[in-house]
Amino acid sequence: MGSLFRSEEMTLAQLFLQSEAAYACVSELGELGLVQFRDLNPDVNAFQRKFVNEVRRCDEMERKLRFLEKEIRKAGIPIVDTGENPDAPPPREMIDLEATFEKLENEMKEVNTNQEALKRNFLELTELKHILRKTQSFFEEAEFHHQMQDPALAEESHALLLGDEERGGQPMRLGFVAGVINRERLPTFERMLWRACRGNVFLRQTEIETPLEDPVTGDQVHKCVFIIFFQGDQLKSRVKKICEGFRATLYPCPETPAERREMAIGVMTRIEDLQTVLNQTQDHRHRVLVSAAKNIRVWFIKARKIKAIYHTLNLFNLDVTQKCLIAECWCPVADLERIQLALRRGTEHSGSSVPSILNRMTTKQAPPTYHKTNKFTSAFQAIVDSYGVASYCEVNPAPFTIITFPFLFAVMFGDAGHGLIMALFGLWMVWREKQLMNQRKDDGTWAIFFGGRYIILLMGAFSIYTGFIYNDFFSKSLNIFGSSWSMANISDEDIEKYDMIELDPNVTSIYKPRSPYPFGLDPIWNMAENKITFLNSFKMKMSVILGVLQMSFGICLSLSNYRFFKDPVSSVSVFIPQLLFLLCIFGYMVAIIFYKWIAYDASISYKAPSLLITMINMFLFKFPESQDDYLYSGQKGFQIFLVLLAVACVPCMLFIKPYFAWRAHKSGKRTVNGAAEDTAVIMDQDEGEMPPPPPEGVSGHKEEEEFDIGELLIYQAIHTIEFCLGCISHTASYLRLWALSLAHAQLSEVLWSMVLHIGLGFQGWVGAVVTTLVFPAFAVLTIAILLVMEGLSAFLHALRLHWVEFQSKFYKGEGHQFVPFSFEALMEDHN
Amino acid sequence: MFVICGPKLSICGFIISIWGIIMMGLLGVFFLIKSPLLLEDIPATKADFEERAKVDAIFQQSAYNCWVVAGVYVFVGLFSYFQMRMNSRQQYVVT
Repeated sequence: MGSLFRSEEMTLAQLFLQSEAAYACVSELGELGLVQFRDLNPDVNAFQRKFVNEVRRCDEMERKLRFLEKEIRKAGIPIVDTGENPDAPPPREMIDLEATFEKLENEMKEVNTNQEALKRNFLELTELKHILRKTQSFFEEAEFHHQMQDPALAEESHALLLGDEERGGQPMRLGFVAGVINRERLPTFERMLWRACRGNVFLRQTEIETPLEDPVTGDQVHKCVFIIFFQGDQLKSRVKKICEGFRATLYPCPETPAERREMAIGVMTRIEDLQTVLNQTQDHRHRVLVSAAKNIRVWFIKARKIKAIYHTLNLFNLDVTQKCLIAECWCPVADLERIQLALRRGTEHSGSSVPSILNRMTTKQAPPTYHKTNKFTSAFQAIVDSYGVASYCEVNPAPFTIITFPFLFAVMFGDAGHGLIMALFGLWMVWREKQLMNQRKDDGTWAIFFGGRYIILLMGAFSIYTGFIYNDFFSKSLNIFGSSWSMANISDEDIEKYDMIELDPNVTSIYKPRSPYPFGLDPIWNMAENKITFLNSFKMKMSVILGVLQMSFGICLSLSNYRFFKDPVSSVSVFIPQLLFLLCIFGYMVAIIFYKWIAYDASISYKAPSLLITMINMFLFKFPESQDDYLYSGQKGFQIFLVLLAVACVPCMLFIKPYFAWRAHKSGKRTVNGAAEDTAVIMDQDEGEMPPPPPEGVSGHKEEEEFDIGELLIYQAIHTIEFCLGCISHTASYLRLWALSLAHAQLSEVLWSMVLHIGLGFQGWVGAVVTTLVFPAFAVLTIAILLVMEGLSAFLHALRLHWVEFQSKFYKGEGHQFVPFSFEALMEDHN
Repeated sequence: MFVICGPKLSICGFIISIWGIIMMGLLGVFFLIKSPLLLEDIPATKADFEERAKVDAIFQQSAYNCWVVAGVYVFVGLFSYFQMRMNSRQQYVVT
């Protein structure tokens, strides 16, 4: 476990791998996950790289596997995850895998096509069966009509002796077609028939009760049986065309009942046979899929690993002799041993005799930032990295964030009851870590909460602590040690007469001066009307104290950075003035806060001068006349001294550093000169940028000098203004610690008095019933409003305080993350 | 026995029951020792505050109320836990 204070020392290394051993070595390095490869062929098209064919084959394999996975999921077979992590198979095994996948894919495709055809057949037979059943009633009606018509016609033909031969000669035979159509299309179908055939056709329809399965999509469709009676061939063709248009399937239906019965029996037999065949096909398909499901996870892992290895091999350069591959990679210096071991293992596995060589290179490029974290620290590192990845070897704010972040959150959250619930939630997630990690991976919100489980646990624990300090448990206080205030000597008439009684702490019977409440806020304040006024003063002062402490600490961390990067000019000209400026003004303010707390007690507190007015007057050089309004003797002289010192720091910050840079430029003509150039190179994050070449002539040198000075002055001016104004605004910004804790306390009180109070306010046993009903509402609202909403709000504000107020004092955050080639990361991405 | 609540409802019910038992139990104790901080939460009118004994009786009644609620939540908790078991068993059988 490396140190979290700074990022790991990284080195650029060159690897010489023999072509046969390359695959195995990259496989070992992938398992190790400590190496970040650089692309040595950036201008080469993806299709012109060396191993493009292999990558294509891997893509094909993955496609087949995805198809198989989809089929397995459709069939509802569970995919077993044994947690096995197979190594990447050697290249010759790839051909075997490809053959297996090909065979499986073909088999599945064949089975699917067959099944579709069988289902289509089955559907036709089922529809025919329904038709034969339903049209029985239609035909009986038609017969009836036929009978009705016939005697009428007979009369007519008798009446019109001269009449048309056609009429008399042709018997009134009704043709018919029978078929099945989707239920949704039926009304339009009817209307179309009516219009097209001018009302000369007769449609009867009934519904099929059971829905039928569409062979292609597998949906359940509702259909209706219809039968159309018409006369003549023209109408017949018209009807047939309309049926085709509406995609109604027509079936040949025999006219006589006897034939229909026979056909029905035949259809039933065929349906039974077809059902058997379908079941067997289904079984076979199921068996194939089950056997595939056992191995599919392993196959996926293998295919992805092979593809990753070939992608990486594509980044390498081929040596002139075509015998070995050259790779460039970033790796941590501390782990070079392990990398060498991995390379040796890879070479052994491939059976090659030539060992792989690792060569360290020096470069001016900025290495990537690598922090070694474990499951606990990685969450805090992640929230620091969200703002900006640390520059190479810069001080990492993460180890401090582990404590200060939950602490600032707790100052804003400040309720022990809520903190307890949050801590228990965090504890449950941490306790059941392994199970929960394997279980739910899909849900985004849950993933965020689970990823921050250690943060939540710490936030809850710290909130319990601040809850004890604010003496706040679901908005009620606990009297653990016995309150220091007493109402014992207040007369009964006073209690009767007045609504509110003022307890004067100067009176010894009311308040014991030498024994304050040992830990936290005295519980009597919970019942006091002026609780908020009292707490405001306390919480505001506390916020400012915490703010100034954190900011001074940030400035001290910047000193650590200057010393590490060997920047003595900055240590003197930037760090000292900054620290002095902050301490002279706001450090002094913190000092007089503490002084006022200690020096003034209840008897003389009425004449204590206001600290804010004192600070303002300090800058206006206005001093009070009477001796009472001074906090301490010698205040006048000391304050003047502090203001002058702070003002003197400002030109130091502005001019000293550019002056030294200018002097260094002037005195020496070396390329690596002065603090300015060094810092410029280290802070430079663009890849491939080399430091400026040695100046050719004097004129060129002078131009660079002018350019440097102007830019440097502006840079310093901006930073100085930012720092000085920032001091004031950031200190005020810390007052959000007070604001949010006030909001939380008030919300908590409102929830109690408006929700739970309803239940407790009923007389007699009714109270119990109402409370039983009211309590779940109280619980749900507490979790939704106070825990989730206020929790997120306090989280956000604590984060902002860290990112802006704390980190702006020392953090550059211009690095890029170290992304090693690692199979583990790859598998996680895919899941 | 069969499943009446789904898995999520039963887990919610179980957690709220545990919370209810603990919180109502403690609240009952605090009512019993007549904590002055709970003075606003008792169902007493201004007239009741004349007699000390009456206020004490109201405190005691509130304490009993809280314990009754805690008792009810014991049953709700057992029921929810039972439902949780049924749900997980059902899940186990199906797969």
